[in-house]
Amino acid sequence: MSAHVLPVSGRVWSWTLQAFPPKPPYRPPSGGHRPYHVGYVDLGDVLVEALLAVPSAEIGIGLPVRLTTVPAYQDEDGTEVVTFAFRPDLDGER
Amino acid sequence: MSRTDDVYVVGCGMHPFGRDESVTGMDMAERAIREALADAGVAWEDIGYAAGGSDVSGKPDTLVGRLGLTGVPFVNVQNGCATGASTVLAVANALRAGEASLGLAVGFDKHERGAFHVSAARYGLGDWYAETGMMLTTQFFALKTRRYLYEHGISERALAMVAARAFRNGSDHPLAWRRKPLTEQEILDSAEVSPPLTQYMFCSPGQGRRRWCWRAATAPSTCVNNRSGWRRWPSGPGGSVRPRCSRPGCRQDRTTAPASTPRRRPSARQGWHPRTCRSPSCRTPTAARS
Repeated sequence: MSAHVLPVSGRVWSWTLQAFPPKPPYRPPSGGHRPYHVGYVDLGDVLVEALLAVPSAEIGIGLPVRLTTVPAYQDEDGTEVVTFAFRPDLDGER
Repeated sequence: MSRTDDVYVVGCGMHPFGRDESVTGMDMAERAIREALADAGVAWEDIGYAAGGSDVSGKPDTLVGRLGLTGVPFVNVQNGCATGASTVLAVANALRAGEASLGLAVGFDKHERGAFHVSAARYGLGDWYAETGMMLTTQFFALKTRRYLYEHGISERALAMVAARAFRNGSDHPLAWRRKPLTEQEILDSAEVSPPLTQYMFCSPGQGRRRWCWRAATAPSTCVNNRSGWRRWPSGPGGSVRPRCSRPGCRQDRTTAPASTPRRRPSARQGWHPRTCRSPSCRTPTAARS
């Protein structure tokens, strides 16, 4: 098995909102759980499940998105841990 | 590959769904099994092959401690939401293969309230996957459902129609987990879980389950037999076993259960003879006797 570099942009294949706070081992961001979007992003070769940093007004199947990072939670020593996500890709809409 | 041996469901039993802290999952399974044996008119000693499934409520094969150490091969099945179906299939296939002439399948579970939460490592995944809030079955169902609606041009209201039908069916069943009918609007207006899915589009976790409801937890038990002369449930297309119960509550879908379902077909065509179920849970005689 060898590493395969995936594209950093794609389109939303499906999406939902995590409306309720998940149970552990979920670690909420500092400030507590706020509803967040989750989706599958179609990168061509594969669908990737990811958090979607996309406002409710913009979200929809087919939306062009691009890789980004978002705060996940704060570690015990105060370190802010980030995770991957996708945000709207304005260039992709042209 | 062709399957020529018919396998029949010859008895069934079920523990009520709901929340009852006075019984364990193993208690429910034992009751369901004893009911199924009585329904079939056989003894535990007659069972030549058994399979059982439970996710978190016990190791099914240890039920032999309650039922008797007969030496019966008892296989444990753990296959997520498909555990019940996999268990029935395991028994049916064992009978087709000639392992035994009479088998038993049982499934049971008790779950805490709310969505499941599981260890990512148990699924071969990194902890980060659950820690970042992506490892929820409710999300998975919502994502796949939304895409399905999109690809097939189905309205979100259709989801409420399906749920309303399930609640309607549940209201007819004395052992169902949810027995109060809900309107489509009540379902659409219930708490948002993961859009397009609302609270009442899910089977809320409980104990016991409706056999046919996805992602349920249940304590049904089924005796499966491959001999003729029993109450015969015709096997389905391709020879797959089609477990059906003659009890009214076992109807999967009353809106699509017309006179053409096997239990209502003229017995002469199927060689099948309905009889009144003896389980305490089904006092109502069902299909007209023929």
